[in-house]
Amino acid sequence: MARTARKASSVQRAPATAVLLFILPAFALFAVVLLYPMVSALGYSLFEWRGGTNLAGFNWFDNFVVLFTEQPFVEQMPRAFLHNLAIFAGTLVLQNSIGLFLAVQLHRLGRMRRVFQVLYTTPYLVSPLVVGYLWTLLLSPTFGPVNAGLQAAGLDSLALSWLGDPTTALPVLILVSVWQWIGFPVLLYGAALGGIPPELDDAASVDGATGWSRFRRITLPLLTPVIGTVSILTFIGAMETFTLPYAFGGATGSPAGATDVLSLLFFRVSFQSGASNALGVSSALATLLFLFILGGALLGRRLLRAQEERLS
Amino acid sequence: MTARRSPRLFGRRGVIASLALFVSTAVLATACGGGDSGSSDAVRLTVWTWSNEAATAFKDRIADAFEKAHPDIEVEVVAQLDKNYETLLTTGLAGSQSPDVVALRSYGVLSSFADSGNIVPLDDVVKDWSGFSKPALAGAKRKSDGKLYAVPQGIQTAQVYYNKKVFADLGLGVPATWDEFLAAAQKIKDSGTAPIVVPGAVAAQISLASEILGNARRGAGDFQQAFLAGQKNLTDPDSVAAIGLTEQVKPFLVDNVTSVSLDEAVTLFATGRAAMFPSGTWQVTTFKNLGAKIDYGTFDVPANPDWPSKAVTVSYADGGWALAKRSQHPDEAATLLNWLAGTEFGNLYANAMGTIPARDGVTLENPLLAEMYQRYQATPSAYLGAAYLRYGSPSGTDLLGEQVQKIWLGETTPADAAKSVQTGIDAWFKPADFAHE
Amino acid sequence: MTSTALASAPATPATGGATPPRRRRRRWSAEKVVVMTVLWLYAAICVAPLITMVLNSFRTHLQIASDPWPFPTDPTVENYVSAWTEASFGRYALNSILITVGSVAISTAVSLPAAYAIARWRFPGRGALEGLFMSGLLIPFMLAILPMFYLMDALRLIDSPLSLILIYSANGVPFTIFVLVSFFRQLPAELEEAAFLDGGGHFTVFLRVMMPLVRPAIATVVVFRFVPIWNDFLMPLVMLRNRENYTLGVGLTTFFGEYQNDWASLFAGLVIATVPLLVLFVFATRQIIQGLTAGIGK
Repeated sequence: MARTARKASSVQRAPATAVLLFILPAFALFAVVLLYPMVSALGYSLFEWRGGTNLAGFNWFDNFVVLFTEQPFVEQMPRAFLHNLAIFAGTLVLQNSIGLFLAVQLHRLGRMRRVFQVLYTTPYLVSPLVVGYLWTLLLSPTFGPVNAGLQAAGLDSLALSWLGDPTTALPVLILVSVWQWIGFPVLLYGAALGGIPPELDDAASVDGATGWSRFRRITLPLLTPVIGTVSILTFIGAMETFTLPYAFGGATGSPAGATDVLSLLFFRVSFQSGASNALGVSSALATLLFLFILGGALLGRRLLRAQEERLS
Repeated sequence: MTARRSPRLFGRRGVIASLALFVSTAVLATACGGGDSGSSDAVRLTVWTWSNEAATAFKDRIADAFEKAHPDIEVEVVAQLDKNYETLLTTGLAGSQSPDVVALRSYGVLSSFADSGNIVPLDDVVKDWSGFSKPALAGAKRKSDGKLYAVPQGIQTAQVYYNKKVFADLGLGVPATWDEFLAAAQKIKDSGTAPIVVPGAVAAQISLASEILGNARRGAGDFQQAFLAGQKNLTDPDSVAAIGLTEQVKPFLVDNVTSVSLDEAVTLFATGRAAMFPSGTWQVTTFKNLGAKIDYGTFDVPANPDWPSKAVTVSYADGGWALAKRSQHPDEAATLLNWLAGTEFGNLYANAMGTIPARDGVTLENPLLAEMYQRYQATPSAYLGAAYLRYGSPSGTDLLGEQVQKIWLGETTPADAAKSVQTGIDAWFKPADFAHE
Repeated sequence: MTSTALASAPATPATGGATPPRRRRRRWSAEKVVVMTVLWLYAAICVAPLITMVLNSFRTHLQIASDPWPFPTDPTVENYVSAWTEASFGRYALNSILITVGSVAISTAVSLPAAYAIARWRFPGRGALEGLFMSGLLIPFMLAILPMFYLMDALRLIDSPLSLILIYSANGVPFTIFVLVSFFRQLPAELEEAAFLDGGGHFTVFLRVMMPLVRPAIATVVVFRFVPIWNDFLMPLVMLRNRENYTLGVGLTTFFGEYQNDWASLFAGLVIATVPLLVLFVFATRQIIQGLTAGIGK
């Protein structure tokens, strides 16, 4: 049934007026308030600016050349980029494993499900501005309850300088980010699981399929679109992450640049840098990031489609 | 032409403004059923600052003092979020409903906003600049033409805070040489207290601490001159040795120093868990706000006899007040700026904020601040990173902060660190740009 | 098929190895104990830091900074008093509600039909349109601030809460469409066809048949759009001038000093700012459950 349903979906033809009526309000709002400023922002990267917003002239791709030839970019851009990728990989793996596991388990629960859903999502409700500082406090080797607890439990060797050590700072950043966001995949996967007709599963189990193979053959394919959606959003979030790294390592990605990411680099070279052409160069950096994320997201969508085809 | 006109009650702009104000108040009053009862004939000036502390100081006392002398002008000081202040200013100054007067961070940021044309040169707007000290004015100048774009707010001096009780208990006095300083640190360490705390997670704070330790070792004013003349750069042996002092103090730093935030560093010192804290003037206020009972004093890092300079007081200009180009009330704003440049404000602000005054004629009530002020007047030396290395990206202080972290983590040497910072700033730093000094 | 069917919905263990017989009636199997332990443990990880925050909001700044254990020995409500008055939270809460509810309502209302059309209909340029909407997710927001400010300035909306509502609702469009499309796509076509055969128009089918089926997804989108708007502090500072119009998120920034953060008041303020979200969320999850059962019941 699901198979035919998938194939059958989205072949509807609708009259042009209906399409227009359904699309236009969203498109108008989007185009005027979001797309237009975005395009102008990206356009800034092709100009030279003198101090903030004073236009000095068109300079083609000079700002982009700067990114690939001059300090600090030649050194800091690849480093920051790798950190972004690491954050993406870490978050992706953890969200899709822990998140999916939790969602599947919650789906089997009855009334308690709602309690857990609320509990798992509370970290997301707290202002991200403060979440970072809260964790800095919790993880502080001197004042933090985490290390105090570890030491009280006799685990002194585990009481690390979490955010002060370049080897642990980035993993901690990833974990806290997952901690904050896990509610999103849990809820979304939960919603998707709820959309799977139980008859399907029943039918499969009558065929003698075991739990894992039922999950693989029936549940997972039906979840693929949502997993893809979550993954693409994770990718975007990881590439643009700012608030948490800023709260943890300040503008320089302390310690010793171990948590430096592209948006921090953008922050450093933009308005408060004191550089006269800050707007041009920072726009070029943002444009580059935008193009990369766009490419990644489109690729992700294509992979997702291919996967959907293969599984259905 | 003197930009500040005699205070007429109704200038042409004033008439239009008050008309507009009257109409809008009337409309507003009808619309809200007479809700707001603000006095309608006073001009309201909006002032922006990045500092919540400054906004509170204005609300408590300073604004009243000004309004008493200028009953036709009201001042509202709005604190914008510190970390996004420059972003907010960029938009705020660029469109309608611009603030009238804005606080700006000194040196590079000020210079860049001056380049944008959204703030106005004040050389002729403010009538009397004579009271301001040279270092204060240096932070208020645009790099390219040397014009003044801000009324200096204050000066920060940077020195070592020390816990008097810990020193007395161990029979230690204020060290007279760097070697004595290290010996004292060793003695404190042996007694079980952490000798030195630095906010080692924050690049700007590390850079400041390194400057406090190393300014004299580098050669203070002499090095600065040679640096600006292009004769020496940061890889000079004296500069490397100065950075090397951060390596010498490494054994005496609090545990896990690279994870210590500014708030933590303050608490560690204020609760007696660390005996020394190299930091800026502002800490006097911070310690007070924290409510900790600590008896502390300050000293400048002492020099060894073979160093190129004697001990100095590291200092830098700490912001200034600028006039927005799109201010709706430039005349009244000019009146305010002239008042901000005077001694009445100087006294109120320096004492309320706990900062070293930018001009003469100011008496500091707090004896600790007065002591810092005295030392500053005797042997000032500019914080090189703040004064010259923040006019482009990467900023020299960010780079230095990161490199010193690497030194403390055992990942680099002072010589390599110096080279790395110099390579970074070579992207934009040209000594000739500072010809207007 | 009712909610009971849902509650005893077949197990889909992701744990691999163990393959218990289906429809086991014994309530406390070993597997279930393990699973429940894991679920509760994870819940503790989620909530413990927040409880720390709540506990700390009853302590003074110095206590927070010097003693790692958050249990207040000498609890004080001083922080709540200062947070409420210093940051004018009463006034800001009203603004936050107005702006957030308005924005989420508008973006959901306009995005739903668009997502439906993109997911279910064929029309020229559909792929391109979907890609275009998706690109809206990728906006480097820090950069878009400047042109957005110029746009709102040109529309004479600086210092008007309307500017925020416009920006937030537009900003919600890509996300809402992106999530909802994948849900609309999942739905079986038979329902639609049956509704058409019954003589429903496009709009009726969409409104009466398809939309109720994605209610859980809508609830999720609403929550996940609501929260960032509620917590945002940057856009209000960029667009608003009059403090009367500020939102709770901006109020929180009052406690970040240049050199010193007021942890105690900040935590208290945070609790005040977060409680409405929690209430909303508890309410929204009920909606999700109802949506689920309604969807299954069809």
